[in-house]
Amino acid sequence: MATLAAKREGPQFISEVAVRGNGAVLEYCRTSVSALSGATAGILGLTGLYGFVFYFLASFFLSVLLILKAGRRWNKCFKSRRLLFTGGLVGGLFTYVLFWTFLYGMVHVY
Amino acid sequence: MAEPELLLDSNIRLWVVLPIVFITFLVGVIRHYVSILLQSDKKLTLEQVSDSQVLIRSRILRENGKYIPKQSFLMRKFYFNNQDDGFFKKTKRKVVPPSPMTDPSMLTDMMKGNVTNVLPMILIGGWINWTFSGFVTTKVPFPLTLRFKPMLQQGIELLSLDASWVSSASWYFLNVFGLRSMYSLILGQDNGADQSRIMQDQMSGAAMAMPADTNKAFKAEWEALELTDHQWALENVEEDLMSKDLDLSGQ
Repeated sequence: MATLAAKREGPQFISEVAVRGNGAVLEYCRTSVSALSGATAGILGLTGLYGFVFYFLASFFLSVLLILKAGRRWNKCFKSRRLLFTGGLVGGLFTYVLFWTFLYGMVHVY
Repeated sequence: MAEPELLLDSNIRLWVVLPIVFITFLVGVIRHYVSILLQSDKKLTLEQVSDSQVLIRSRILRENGKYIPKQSFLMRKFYFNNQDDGFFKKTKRKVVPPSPMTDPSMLTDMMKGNVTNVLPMILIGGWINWTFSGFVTTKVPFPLTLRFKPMLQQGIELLSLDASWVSSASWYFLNVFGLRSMYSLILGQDNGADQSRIMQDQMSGAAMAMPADTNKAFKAEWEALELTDHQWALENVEEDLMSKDLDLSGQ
């Protein structure tokens, strides 16, 4: 009998609503983390490069926590793992800079 | 952490920085509610709804045809594509394609979109620049090159001032961009205050032009359906099941 490769196609049945809901939750987490880390950076008085490094550290920490929470069944909830790392990074950057500037101004300049 | 070189009046903090934040945020929220109020009713006829459903049905048939037996697939394909009386061949709809210039409802939608989003930003930016001009507002925490000076220090005439000390207009724009993602936190998804989403929608809306001409859509769907073939996904199912180690104990 010839060997037959099992024709397993990838997950075909994807619910659009669920994907969008998951994306919304991710963005919510990302925005919250950006706001809080921006506030922290402002209060601590980080300037320049340290500030940006802090943002990427915080984002990475968020991704690690998300992956821990998703566990081994992550592909039931997300299409690719990279999305957990990079989703909403630039939007979060703007929020981070806003809060950072705001609190830096509040605390250190005045 | 160097000590800041300038000492700014606390009144600036109280009466400039905070009001700008509030203004930006509240304008965004108001914009969201105004866009809800101004949404024009989209009138759909029964024929349009049934046409779009037929197209969806045909697309589902194309995508998932491999999960039904060959006979069923051919029967459905025959219903749509038969030479003489298939659905896509027979139905011709008298449709006047609504182009963006002639259809009044689409035109007003575009205008409303532009007015509600871009105009307030420009107006308020200008007003803030005029009201709070002539003094330094805050310091951004990262070093900026001198090229940014004329852009960020609109009303301040000091040549030697570090580019990190910005004026109120730039603080306003920083607010606009930074609060965009906050709006989705507070107002939920699909809110009318998020400008970037509106701009993205405009760009993608031009790309996926609505099938205003249903005849063309039918024709395209007919061609696509003609091309699909039936690949029976369960063809080798007996081999597959036999070759795996079946765990029949149940979970």
